Amino acid sequence: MSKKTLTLMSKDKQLFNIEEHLAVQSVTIRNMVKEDGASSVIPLPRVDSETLALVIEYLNRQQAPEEDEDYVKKFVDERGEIPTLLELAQAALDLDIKKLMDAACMKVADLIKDFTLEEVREALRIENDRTPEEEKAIRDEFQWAF
Amino acid sequence: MPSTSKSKRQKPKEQQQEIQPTTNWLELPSDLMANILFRVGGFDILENVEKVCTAWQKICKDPSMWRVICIDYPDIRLIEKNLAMCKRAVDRSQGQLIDITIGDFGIDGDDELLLYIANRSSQLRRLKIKTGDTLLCKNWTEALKKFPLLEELTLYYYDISKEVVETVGSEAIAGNPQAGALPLSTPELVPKTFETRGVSSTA
Repeated sequence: MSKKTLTLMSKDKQLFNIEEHLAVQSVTIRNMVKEDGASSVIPLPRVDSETLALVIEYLNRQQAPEEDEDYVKKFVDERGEIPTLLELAQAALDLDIKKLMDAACMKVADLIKDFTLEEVREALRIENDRTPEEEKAIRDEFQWAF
Repeated sequence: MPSTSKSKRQKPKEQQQEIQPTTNWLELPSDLMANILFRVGGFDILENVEKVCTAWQKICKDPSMWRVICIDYPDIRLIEKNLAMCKRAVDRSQGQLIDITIGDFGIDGDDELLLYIANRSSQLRRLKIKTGDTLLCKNWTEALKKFPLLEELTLYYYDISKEVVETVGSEAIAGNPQAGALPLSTPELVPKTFETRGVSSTA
């Protein structure tokens, strides 16, 4: 059987080749291949090239199935920055690669678990959108926090 | 690495902008955000995470976030607070709770909590209790009657004997009129149904 290659295109129009039998670990790609053979370029409009390179690296891994759990954990551990992990999680969601998505989500969860409120907001660039009155109402609701 | 927050803050401006210039993480699909927040765990959600912003609070108030609850490390000095949090978590599930792991809230706390869960969680399938005192709970029989769908009862106990396991098993049988239909009911299933884990001095 000859190894068929697919081409994926990131949102910044970079092209990545990957062998089809590896690419179909992504359920999204598998379905595309089933439908129309996916002979042309597969566009991934929400995935930037850096993230796609990571996804390709993951799909190309040569791990024995029994080592896979450890591998994916280590893979996300090594990319411990929250923005990278969130991009990765979103790409894995779009491509439907469940193991990778869950591992990336778990890693983000582990990181923000130990953060203070302000640190979470800062790390994820989230504005506190509550008025001081609303803040107070929440504090009253959660009295145990003090 | 937890250093993300602090080290990044110190970096010069231009470097900081390089990292993620425009992304607003609140625009992530809410399923993905829910996946992350769920993994943070009930304790930290109630304590911290859901206060981050209104969008997160909305996600954290969805009953589907609370079908599986694990609050199993209460700080012994803060039993009251942890008990309140655990009840709050059960409230949040709005009756959809299917799997709960709870820690050692002391004999009165366990008793109270077990009944609290029982009165609100008829869908419960898995109950895991990490404690030494649970077996003495007055309310076992009454509580177990209220979990008609219970499939798995796991007791994490330091030093538990087969006899004690069987006693709980027979209480469950006695307390449940539909015992015939439940896995808890058949004696040969008892060892399978009642798992015991943890550090055991006798096993």
